[in-house]
Amino acid sequence: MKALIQKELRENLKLAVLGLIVFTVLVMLSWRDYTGMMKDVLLGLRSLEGYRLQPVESGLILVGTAWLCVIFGAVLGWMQIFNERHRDLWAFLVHRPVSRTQIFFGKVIAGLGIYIVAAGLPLVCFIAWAGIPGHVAAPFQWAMTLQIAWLFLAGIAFYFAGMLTGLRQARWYASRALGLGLAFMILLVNVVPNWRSWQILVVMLIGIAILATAVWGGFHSDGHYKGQPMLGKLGLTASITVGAGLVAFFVAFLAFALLDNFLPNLFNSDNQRWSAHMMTKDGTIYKEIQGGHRPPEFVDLDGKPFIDVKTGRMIDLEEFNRRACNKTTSIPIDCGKQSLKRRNPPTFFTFYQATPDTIWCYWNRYGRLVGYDIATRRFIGSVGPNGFANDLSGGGDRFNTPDQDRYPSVPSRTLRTATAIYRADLQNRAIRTLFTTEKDETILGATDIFLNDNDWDYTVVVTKRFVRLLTPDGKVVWKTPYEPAHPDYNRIQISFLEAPGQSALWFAPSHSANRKADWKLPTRVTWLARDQGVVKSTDLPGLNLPRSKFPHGIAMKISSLLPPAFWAAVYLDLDLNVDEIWPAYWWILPLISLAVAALVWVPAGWWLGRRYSLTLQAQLGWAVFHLLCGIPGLLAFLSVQEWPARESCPNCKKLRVVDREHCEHCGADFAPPEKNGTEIFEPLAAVK
Amino acid sequence: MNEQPVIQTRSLTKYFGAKPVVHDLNLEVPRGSVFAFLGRNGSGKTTTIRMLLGLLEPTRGEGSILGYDIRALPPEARARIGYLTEEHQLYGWMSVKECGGFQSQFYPRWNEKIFRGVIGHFSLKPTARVKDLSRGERAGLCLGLTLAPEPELLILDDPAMGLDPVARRSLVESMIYLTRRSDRTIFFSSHQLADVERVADYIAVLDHSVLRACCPVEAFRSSVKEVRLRFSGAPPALPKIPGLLQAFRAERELRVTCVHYSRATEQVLQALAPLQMEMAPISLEDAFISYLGERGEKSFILSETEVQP
Amino acid sequence: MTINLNINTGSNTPIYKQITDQVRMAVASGRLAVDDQLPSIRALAERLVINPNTVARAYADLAREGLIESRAGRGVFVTRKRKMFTREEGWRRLEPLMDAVIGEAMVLDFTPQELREAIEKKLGQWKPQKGGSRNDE
Repeated sequence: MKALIQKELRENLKLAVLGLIVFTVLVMLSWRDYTGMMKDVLLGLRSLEGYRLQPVESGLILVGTAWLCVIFGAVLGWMQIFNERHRDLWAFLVHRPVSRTQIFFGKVIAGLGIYIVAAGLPLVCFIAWAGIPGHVAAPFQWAMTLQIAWLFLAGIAFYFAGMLTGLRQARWYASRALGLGLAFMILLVNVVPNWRSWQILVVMLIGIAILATAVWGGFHSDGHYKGQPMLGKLGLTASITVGAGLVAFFVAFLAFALLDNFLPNLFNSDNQRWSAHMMTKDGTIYKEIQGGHRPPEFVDLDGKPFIDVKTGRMIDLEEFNRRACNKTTSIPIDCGKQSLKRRNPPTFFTFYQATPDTIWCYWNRYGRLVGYDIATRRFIGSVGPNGFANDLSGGGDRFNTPDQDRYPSVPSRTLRTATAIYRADLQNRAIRTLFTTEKDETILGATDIFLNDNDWDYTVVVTKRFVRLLTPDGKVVWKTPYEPAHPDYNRIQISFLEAPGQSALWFAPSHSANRKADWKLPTRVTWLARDQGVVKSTDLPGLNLPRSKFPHGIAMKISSLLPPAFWAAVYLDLDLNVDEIWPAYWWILPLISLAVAALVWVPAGWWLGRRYSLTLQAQLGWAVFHLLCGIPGLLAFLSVQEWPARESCPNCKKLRVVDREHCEHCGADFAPPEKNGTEIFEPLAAVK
Repeated sequence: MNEQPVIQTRSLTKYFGAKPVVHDLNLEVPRGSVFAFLGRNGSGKTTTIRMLLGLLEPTRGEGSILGYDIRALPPEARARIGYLTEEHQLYGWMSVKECGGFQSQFYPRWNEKIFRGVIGHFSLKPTARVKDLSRGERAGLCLGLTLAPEPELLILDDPAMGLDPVARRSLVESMIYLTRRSDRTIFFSSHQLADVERVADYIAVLDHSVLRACCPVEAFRSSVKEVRLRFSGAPPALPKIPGLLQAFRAERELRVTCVHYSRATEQVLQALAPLQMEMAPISLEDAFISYLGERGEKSFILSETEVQP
Repeated sequence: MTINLNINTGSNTPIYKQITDQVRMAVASGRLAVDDQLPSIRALAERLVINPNTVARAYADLAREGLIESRAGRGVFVTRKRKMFTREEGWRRLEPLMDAVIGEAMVLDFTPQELREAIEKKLGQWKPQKGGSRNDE
């Protein structure tokens, strides 16, 4: 095996060097990108808002790593087989007196070695550079580098997929490359929302193992399905099924899109109308009725059409948008559900603010603002509710995580703990308390309001008992009770009206509470004015929402085509809140697809299996497979198996497959070729 | 010696698509023999060899080589089989010496003397790169790589293809060298009847994917007979002759080649009342050509075509 | 002494028969004498680049005719000179050769007289060897 590994290393040396160069260039570009940005910042040429301060999280390195790992992995794997593409060279290789498993490992060890050095080394150097203090003026945590690490792993999936593509002796040429579909899915799990890093890792490792098994099996049969060990067949079929599923999905997607384009009524047969409440700039509420292939209509709360007094015509969408209140902000409420906070990629820190020579970020791990000097890019100290400290954790005093995006265009101005709102003065590295709650009040949410671009006008503070509007100095503009109460009502919006100092607060019920009440819970709207407090308040009755009792039209049609295994995967992903996406009847769709699979795909697969003259055991195995995998399963079945030739049986005259010793209908043997009278057969005496 | 044959197949069959390329092959290669596997291009020789070496899954039937099932050849079986592929492909970037080094690491019984001897015989420089070698030189290198592990069974797929006469002679010499030990078996396919005549004990002939002959070399030659019939005028129409291979019609002559010449054949020919009838000896190559050529009556291939001066 | 054997592949005569014919001829013409040693099977096979089994078969045929014998541990030796062919067989072999010579001579416009003289002259040069005498060069 040593000889094999050496040979592979030598053979792919050029590719290894090329890979090393390309990855080094990527790393150098990322490095230059960051250092260039910091230089501009130092010169005051650029503000930091919206930029990725940590280069290991930068788009350039992530997108670059993804692309390069995918391409380099696939090309490397493919080349390792392509080098032996000549039939005789392959024969020379596998005629070595070592097992096929050893040949497989010889190649893979060399290939992965090359991959790790060529792709991994530059990336590791880059990560090390970013991790050493003084290089990057932003928080660094090892967990931040997992994104790069996972993309690097996905490249290994492409490595095996490339090998599989080179190896496969397929009847359909396109089906050779289907293994890449699984690798693509492995890459794709990196962007699944709600998944934790370890979940992604587990799924990727399983996928890589499947691909590796398929390749391993291919080495045993020179790329054919027939003649592989059972495990290899399973791996190959699984890989091909995912690829076939992807292809089927895209074909179906295109077909639906085309059909929908030419025959729009084919899928949208329902004429359901639903409505929503809208507010105009003067604070009046109207109902917008939409859906059912008609333009939306606007009516007032009594149901009378909203008519333009000047023209006497009904207000259309365009006109309504001109009049609508466009300064409405939602205030995220901490409702105690951890799952909503889980995101992929996870947020490690958010940019807070910059002074001419320092950068300040909120670092989740420490719950504090951490400062970096722009010129030296070194850590300065941290700021917590108790003020400045020289180290990262200070006295253990922490802020709550702000509700901002990772790289917001307008960063948060206030910070909060459970009982207070703060404003940081980073020029002086000091902290100022804007607001403290009264006793047994907890802050559920606080949002800064910017009415015009970057002007910080107000901060809305929501506690369990009150909603307050604060000015940037901490003065309370108004205060109103949180009614109806948390947690049934957790969707709070504030609309700032055209008249100065006028605003409206919306308290809408949570989805789960509303569903329990059969969507009949009202929405409370309270109008408030500066210095005056509550002006009036009203309860809007529950609306006719876009929902139905039973999945209809397109959902039914599509779900019947989806393989049942897809639904199993959806259900296995426990984080997905199935209830909210498919209310009440979500279980109908998997049942439909299971029924279609049982009634259509399994019989179709069974019929095909008879054509192949499979054994009963194989038939049953494939039947289970078709039941789970549907159309992709059938495609995979056709791609992996060689289409069997048939000829008529000399005994029973029926067509029989040629790869069985006996006729599957009558059990007769094959007739030997006809004699032509010129045969010369003489016994061969043992020589000498 | 009443040993098990080194190669044995039973109804070995391979289809490419709907067409059998090897049809119901039953073959036994005795230990210690030099066995020539003949047939025209595309008759299924390479396919058979690739199936025997477990490089191609048979469609049906079975086979064994050195007692091992060909569908699952273990490494220890491969260590005892030397296989020379048809086109003498090797890694182009390796030097002759590196090829030897690579190969030797897989074979505990590697005999460096033999390797040096063979590459010396073909005058190969150890530092030469494979990609710069000529066809014959590459064949020599492959041969050295195949012989140096001292295989018990040598399988050569058309080793003489593309070789010049000198290289071919070296090849035949190497094969004869290998027979010094009486338990060594050589199974080779070839189109070079002269080489076959020199070295082979037995031949097997594949004709359109069907095995039609399997016998000692001499038995094959003596089974094919050429009879010349002279007539005073144009030869008469040919009756049905058992075992007829070819009939060649000239102005006053009819040449008939057939297998299994018997009294019955003679009677049929005598009935044509020829002026003279003589049996001419025939060379192995001629016997082979008549055996595998177009069956039935024919004349010179281009006789119908006028040659432009 | 050694004899010079030549093998023609592609000829109408099988190789083993070429060997037996040539050994017979050498013995007949006296180039090989009784007790002369022949090369071993292996040595001859490697010299002629042919399968040793072919040489073995030729030697076996010659031994069966009593022309050579294998002496244990020492090698293969010529036993005695003997008449190779019956008169009839001799004529049968000679005839086609004569036909060829005469035919060629006629085509080349030689007269029968010229041909007769040429044959006489050739026969004059040809001194048949006595058994046992040698023709070393």
